[in-house]
Amino acid sequence: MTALRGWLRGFVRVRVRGGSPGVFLTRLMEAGHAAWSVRTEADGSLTCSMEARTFLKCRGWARRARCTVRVLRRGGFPFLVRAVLRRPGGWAGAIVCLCALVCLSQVVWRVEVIGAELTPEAEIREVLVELGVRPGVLRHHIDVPAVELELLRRIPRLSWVNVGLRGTWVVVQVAERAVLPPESPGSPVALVASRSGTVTAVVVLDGRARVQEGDTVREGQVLIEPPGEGPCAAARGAVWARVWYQEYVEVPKAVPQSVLTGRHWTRRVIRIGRWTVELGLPKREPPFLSYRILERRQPIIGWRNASCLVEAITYIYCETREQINTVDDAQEAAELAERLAWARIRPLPGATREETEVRVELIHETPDVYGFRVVVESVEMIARPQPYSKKR
Amino acid sequence: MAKALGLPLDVLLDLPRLEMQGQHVLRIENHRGLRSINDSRVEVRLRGGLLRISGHELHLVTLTSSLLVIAGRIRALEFAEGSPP
Repeated sequence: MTALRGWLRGFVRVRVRGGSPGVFLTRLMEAGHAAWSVRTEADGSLTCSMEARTFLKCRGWARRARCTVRVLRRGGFPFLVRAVLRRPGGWAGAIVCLCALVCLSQVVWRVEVIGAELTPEAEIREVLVELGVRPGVLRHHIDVPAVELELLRRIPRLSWVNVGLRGTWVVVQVAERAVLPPESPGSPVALVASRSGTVTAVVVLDGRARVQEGDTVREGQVLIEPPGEGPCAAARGAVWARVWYQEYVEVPKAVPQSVLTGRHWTRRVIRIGRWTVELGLPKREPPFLSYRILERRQPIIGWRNASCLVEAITYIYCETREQINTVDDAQEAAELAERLAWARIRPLPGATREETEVRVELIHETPDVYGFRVVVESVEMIARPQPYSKKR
Repeated sequence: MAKALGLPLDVLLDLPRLEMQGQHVLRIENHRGLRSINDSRVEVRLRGGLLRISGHELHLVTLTSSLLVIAGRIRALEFAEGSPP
């Protein structure tokens, strides 16, 4: 801490010769000053560092201790500033660099879009460009709340947008709707059934329920009517129903599968921009006929959001061999069929799907395959908004 | 009295406080200045006495009115006559 304070205030490194250097340092200390990095030299003299203002007062203490004090060098912030100011080219360059840094940090260098899965990223970027969010514009020219509102207005699939200015990056985070709003705004909106099923629960927040628990509904049937006839009238609520899915699944009795043998071969490259440099010569091909490649990227230099142009890439070639897995047991095949059926059903549009019951039935069996009918019964939210007219 | 009040002796009797980090660094608080210094011996004035530190490559890291930090390879500490126990 003493040395740091000395650097900030400016310090001198001095040589103390003759007399009693210990007494000199004691006088200095008693006057409330400090010294640091005190070393004795081979010739019996002593070198130490002290603040520049301390040196200006030390003449009397040196005389009393019969020492001579001579400055070896000066250092610290005030001397550094003075040295820079003596070189006009130096400080002009420093000012230009500082100005360039400040100016360039006010410009947007990159626009990042995060969270767009259903909406094409290009569509969002196109709207952003129209709103003035593109590389090269000044940061303070971007009206963040206006951009967020306009994005939501122009791209109906987006339910939430956050535009963040992170240094020279603009990061646009979006969240998308699972269900799109009706395309014809201005007419009343009702909630209709997205699937056929048996109603298990009805919650009405706004509007009039047309169904009740236990009713059987068909796809497209109105569940909750809007509260009025006006263009802004929209039904709000939720309806859960028990719905059924049926899938036919074939499970082959012999399934070819690629398995790892445990042998592997490694190749390393350094990527510099668009070029790659092989490490280890001569370049060889993996000594396997069939393999799976694992890739590991390690940036060599990276700091905050700065993208690194140089990275080390390791390719691990893992040898594989083909293996035939046989499914002899019908019970095992049924479990496999159930998993396959769920893999098909789960991605279907619809929210909060939870399994209640699954029935797997073997329909036919050939020497090669088992054929199963899988019926899944689940409870899910089936209400979706749709423009409403009385004719319905 | 110090025991009764639960106070440290250095506060109550104005004694120096010495703290060593291995045999490499010695911190002395509440010292009275230096008597002599070279790279094998440093003599520090204390209240009512003298502390001799001997070793190799001894040097002072910091010297202020309240704190003295000595670094190097410290071999021995010796309290000269009249120094506090």
